Amino acid sequence: MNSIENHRGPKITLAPAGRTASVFKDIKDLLKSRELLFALLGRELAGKYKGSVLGLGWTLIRPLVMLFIYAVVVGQFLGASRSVEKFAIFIFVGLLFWNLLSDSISSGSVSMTTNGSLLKKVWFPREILPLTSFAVATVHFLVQFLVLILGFAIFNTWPTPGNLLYLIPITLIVFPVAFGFSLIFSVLNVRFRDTQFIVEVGLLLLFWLSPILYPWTFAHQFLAGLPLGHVWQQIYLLNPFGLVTMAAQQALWAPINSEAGKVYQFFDSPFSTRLWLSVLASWIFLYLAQRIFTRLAGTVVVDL
Amino acid sequence: MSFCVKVDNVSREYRKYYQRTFKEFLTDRHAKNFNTVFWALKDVSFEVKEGCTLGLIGRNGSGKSTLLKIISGVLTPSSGQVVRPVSTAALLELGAGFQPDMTGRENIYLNSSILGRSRKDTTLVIDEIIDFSGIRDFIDTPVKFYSSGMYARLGFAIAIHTDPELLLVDEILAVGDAPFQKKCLEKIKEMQNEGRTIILVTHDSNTVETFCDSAVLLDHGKLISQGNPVEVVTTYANLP
Repeated sequence: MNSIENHRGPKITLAPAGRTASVFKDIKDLLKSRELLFALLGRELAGKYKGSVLGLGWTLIRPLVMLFIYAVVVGQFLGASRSVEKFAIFIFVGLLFWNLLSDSISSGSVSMTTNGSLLKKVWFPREILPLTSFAVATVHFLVQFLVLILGFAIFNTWPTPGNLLYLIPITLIVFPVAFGFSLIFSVLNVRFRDTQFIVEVGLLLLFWLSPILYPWTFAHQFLAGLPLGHVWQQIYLLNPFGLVTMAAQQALWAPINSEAGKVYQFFDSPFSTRLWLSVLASWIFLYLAQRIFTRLAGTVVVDL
Repeated sequence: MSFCVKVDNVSREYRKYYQRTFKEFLTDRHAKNFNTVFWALKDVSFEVKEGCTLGLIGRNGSGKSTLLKIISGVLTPSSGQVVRPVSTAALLELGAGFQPDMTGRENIYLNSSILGRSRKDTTLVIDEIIDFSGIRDFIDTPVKFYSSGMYARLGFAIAIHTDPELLLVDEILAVGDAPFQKKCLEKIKEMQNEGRTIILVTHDSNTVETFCDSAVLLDHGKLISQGNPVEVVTTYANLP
């Protein structure tokens, strides 16, 4: 057996949170732990589909059935396709990004509480747990994206290549918003188990306040009729989930460029300015969320 | 010789009255006992020299496990600080994070990565781990079918093979049957000989006297005595 004498490694200082913590050090720790992220991701996926023959295939089947429902039941039976062209694609695009956000936030919120036994016994960068929730949701997102491409082929409607650039700010909003909320809620949920239920209700509300099942202009027109109408309109547009939905429709829903789709275009203020401001706000939010998280993560362990 | 671990004025408080829900939080906000704090550790300071083994003794509730958790990083101190090597393995509870539906082999990789080891490094020692655990025949079986002994053996084998500079051991010498315990003790002795630093938490005076170079006695969160193991054990025996 070789001796340890020759390779003494670096030391670490453990002190009350907030004294030594720096966001750069935390990011460095997180990057060093990427293998753990992949291992936990594998564990989550393996755990979810344990004992099922189709495994990850189930991730594909659910959205396929959903696509069918939107196209036939909602689009034709309920007649939604009369007001919105290619309704199935419209709604699927919105839901795709909604699912990514809501899945990662709702599972991220309970990530600390469900992994209590792990947190109490081993040290690793705690951010890994909510980050794993985001990674799992991303895997499901990518599978559903394949269904969307299949949908493009079925309905023969392809997005304009230039509009695909919207996917860049979308990604830059989705990640910090989803991860940031997961960080805050996961650590709060350890102390107040009510958090997960508040998150559930909040997500339900945000779902309907985002223009996923309807074009944003429907809400816009209604709000215009209220007293102080344009204030309400601006408040409506502050919702980052809604903004992501609209940007996704701009990027991936082809009729937006047609004569009929023109009314749904988002031109009330320069859309890209609003979008890039949201990108900035989202990253500031993520920074604050991480600060709150580090402050609390070291002490909440006793509550698990 | 320089120090390996330095525990510097570490205190840790717990609130006796802990609110869990918003309702309790809102209704008991102004209650008198809201701020009742209880010190699990109060101003504890000591050093462990490189390559030495320290025995941490004390009765139930004296703060031993809290201190070990703070050294491992699971808990942060309320005040004070701990300096320790980055490369530290804690045998706090074995098999933490095992995924029941994954096989023993898959769990070795998962658990090693939780303990901070890369996949590549784990591959190098996986045979050693399997041999040490003594469950080669079942290594490709999901761990949900393991007995509790097999579970603990595998957990111990993984933790001990992470090549740590500092090893934290909490009462786990009670794992498994007599031959396996003997094997664990031998492995710990081997790690001592390799010059690794070890902190051993125990109730057992005998272990402290035979294993440790020095000892620390905790009582009600305070450091009562430190130094020569035999003397510290005597103080422990004479605690009121």
